[in-house]
Amino acid sequence: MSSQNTPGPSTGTTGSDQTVILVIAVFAAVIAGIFVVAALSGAGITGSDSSADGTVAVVSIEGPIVQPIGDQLESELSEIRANDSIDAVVLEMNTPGGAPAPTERMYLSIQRTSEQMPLHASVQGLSASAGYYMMMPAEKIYVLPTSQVGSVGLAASEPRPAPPVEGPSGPNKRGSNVINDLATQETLANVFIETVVEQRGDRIELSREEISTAKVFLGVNSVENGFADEIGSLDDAVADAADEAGLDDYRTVEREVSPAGGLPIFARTDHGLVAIYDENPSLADVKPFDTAMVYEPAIPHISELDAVSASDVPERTTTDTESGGDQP
Amino acid sequence: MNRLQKTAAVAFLVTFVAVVAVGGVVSAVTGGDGNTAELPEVENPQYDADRVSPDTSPGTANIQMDSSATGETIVVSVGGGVSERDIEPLVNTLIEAGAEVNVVSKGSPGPAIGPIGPGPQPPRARPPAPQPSGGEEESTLSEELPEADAFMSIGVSSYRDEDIDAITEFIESDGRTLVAVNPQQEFAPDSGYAELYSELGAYTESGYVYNLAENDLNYQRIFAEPAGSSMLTEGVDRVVFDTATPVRAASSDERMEPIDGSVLSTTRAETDLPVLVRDGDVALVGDTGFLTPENTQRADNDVFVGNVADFLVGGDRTSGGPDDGATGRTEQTNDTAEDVVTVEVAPDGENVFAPRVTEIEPGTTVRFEWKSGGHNLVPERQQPEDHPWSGVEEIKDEGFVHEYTFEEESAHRFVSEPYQDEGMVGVIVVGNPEPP
Repeated sequence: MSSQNTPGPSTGTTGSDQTVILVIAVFAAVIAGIFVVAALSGAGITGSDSSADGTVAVVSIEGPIVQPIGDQLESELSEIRANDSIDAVVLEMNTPGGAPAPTERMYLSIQRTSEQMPLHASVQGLSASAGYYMMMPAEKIYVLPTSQVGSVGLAASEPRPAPPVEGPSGPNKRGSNVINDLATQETLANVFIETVVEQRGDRIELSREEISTAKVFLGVNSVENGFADEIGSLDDAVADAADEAGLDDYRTVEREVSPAGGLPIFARTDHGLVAIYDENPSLADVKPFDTAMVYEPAIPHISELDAVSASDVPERTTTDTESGGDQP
Repeated sequence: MNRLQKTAAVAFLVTFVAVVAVGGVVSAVTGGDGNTAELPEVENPQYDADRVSPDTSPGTANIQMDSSATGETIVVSVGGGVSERDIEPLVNTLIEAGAEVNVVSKGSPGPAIGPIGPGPQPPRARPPAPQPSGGEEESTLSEELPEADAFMSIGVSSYRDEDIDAITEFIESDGRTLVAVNPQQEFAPDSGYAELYSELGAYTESGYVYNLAENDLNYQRIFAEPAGSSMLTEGVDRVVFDTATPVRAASSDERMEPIDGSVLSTTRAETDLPVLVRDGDVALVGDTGFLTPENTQRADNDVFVGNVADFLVGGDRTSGGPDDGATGRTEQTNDTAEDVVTVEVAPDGENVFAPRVTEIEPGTTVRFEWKSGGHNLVPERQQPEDHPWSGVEEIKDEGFVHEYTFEEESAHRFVSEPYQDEGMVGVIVVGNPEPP
C-alpha cells in the first residue's frame, strides 16, 4: 500500500527525492507493522472506547458440543485469563449438549476463569445437558423466561449382549459385559449429577432424585427451583458482570468458539446419536456417540436432515432426465 | 522497475518484517498471547470413584429346582424381541430336571423403541424362524398346547385368535401359565392381549416403574419384594426387573411389589402396584428381562427363576396329554379355587376399592385391607337382600382388615359412605347368583 503513495516512476530523480521516498516507505511500513501486530495480539483496537474502564468478553458457545469446540474454548479462555485488558466474561449459551470429554474440558476452563474474574452465563434458547454441565461454575446463570435448562444426565443406549469375537487379546478389547456397560453409564451420569450437587446444591431446591430425572426446566421455573439465578437477557448479564468487576464504563468484545459454518451437525439415528463433520459426509465424517450428554428432543432425526437437504435432489434428477430426454 | 522503486520496496519489506518480529516478541513476552500465567486452582470433590461408581460386583447365578420335571412338557412362546439366549437360564434348568421344552416363536418383533430410546442392535441370536403369517396352517400353539403341561409366554407382541383359543382352553384346564410382557407391549397394535388378559384375570397398567434413589445400575432396573403367599417368591428377598410395567389381577395369591420410592412413569407418583401377580395357576409378570443370563446374577433372580421352573412343572392339569378332541374343554375343578382374595380399600390414597369387581367361588374368604384411613364398608345392595354380611359401619384407619367368608352364591354392592358421592363403589359376585 505504501508504494501507491510514492511518486510515479520518473527517470531523473534527485538524491533528496530518494531520501524522502525512503522515509515515507519506512514510515508506512512501521504503521502497517504496528497495525498487524496489534491485530494479531487480539487487543481489539476496533470499537475501542477511550473512556471505558475495562472490557467484558462475551464468549458464544453455540451448537453441539463435539470437538474441536473444547479445544477452542479452552485456549480462548486461557487467553482471556492472561489478557489484562479483559475484566469479566459472559458466556452466551445456546446448545443442546454433546460429548462428555469436550464438555469437561470446557467445564474446567470455565471454572478456572470463574476463579479469576466475574463470569456469568446467559442462556438463549437452550442450554441443556452438557450445556448445563459446563456453565455451572458461572457465578450467575441468566435465563430468558422461556429458555430451557437442565436435562441432567446421560443419553445412552441400552447395552446388549453380543456374540463373542475371536481375535482380540482380552474379553473387553472388543465388546464388553452388559453389567459393566450399565455401570459405566451409571458412573457417567453420576459424575454429572454429583457435579450439579457440588456446584449448585446450595441453590437448587430439588433433591438429588429430582435432579436426576433429567427434567428440562423453563427459565421461569428454573429461577424458582435454583437451576438458574436470574431472568434477564445477555445485556443484563454483561452489565452485571461489569458491575461485579467494578467497571462503571465498559466495552464488550465478542469471542466465537463455535466452528464457522455450523459443522459438525448432530443427528439422531435409529442406532443412536452421530456427529456429522461434512456437508457431504463419507463414513469417516460421521462419528457415532454411544454416550452423550444431550437433550435429545433438541436433536434432529437424520430423516429430518434428509428432508431439508433433499430439496435440491429432485432438481438435479429433473435436469438429468430432461437433458436425457432431449437427446434421442 | 527502476532502482528507486526497488530501494523503496526493499526498505518497506525490511522495516515491516522487523516491526512485526519485534512487536510479536514483545507482545508474547508481555503476556498478550501466551499461556505463561498460572492456572487458577479449582476444586471438584465430586470426581471421586467412591462417590460416583456403582457396585458392579456380580452375584452368583445358582438356579435350582426342587421338583423333578421328568415327563413334563413345557411350551415357551417367545416374541420377536426375545432371543433364545434371553430365556436360556430357565430353559436349561427345566431340561436339566428332565422336562421337554418346546420353544415356539410368536408374533412380530416388538416395537424397537423402548423407554430409554433407540439402542444399537448388535448381531443377536434370532429365535426360530417366525411362521409365515396369513397361511392356512394351524396355529402352532393349538398343536402344542393340548399336549403341554405348562405354558410360558414371554415378550410376544401379538396373538392371533387361534392362539388365544388354544391358550384359553389350556388355562381352563388348569394348566400352569406364566405370561411375561414388557412396557412396550402396550404400544403393539392389535395385539389380542385384552382377550388374553380377560382369560388370565390379570392385566397390565400403562407405563413403567422406575426408581431413581435405589436401583440396580439404572433407574428402570427396579428391585421388587414379595408380598402375599410365597410360591414363586419362596426364598426371595429381592428381584431385579429391568423395565417393568405394573400388573394387576382381579384377585391374587402372590405379588411382587416395587420397593419404596418406586415411581410409575405415567403418573410420576410413587407406586406400589405389583410387577408380578399370581392367581392360582396363572401368573403375569410385567417384565421380560428378569431371566437373562446377566440378570440371573443380580439380586435373588436366580432363586426366583428356579421357583418359576418349579411353578411350571408343579401343575396338575386336568387334561394333560393327547386330547381326544371331542369336547376340547374340560370342566373347571374347584380344587384350586381361591380360599382368600384381597380387596384393597383406597390404595395409594385413591378413593376406590381395588379391584372394583371381585368374582369368587362360594366358600371364598374376602379380605378387605384398609390402605388409607377414613373409610367404612357398607353393603348398599345385596342379592339375596337378607344376606347376613353387614360390612364395617365404623370409619377405620389405615391397616384395618375385615374378613368375611361368602358361603353361598350371592352378589354385593358396597360403598365407603364418606366417599360414596365420588363413586367409591365395589362389587363382589359369588358364583353365579340368580338375577334379582
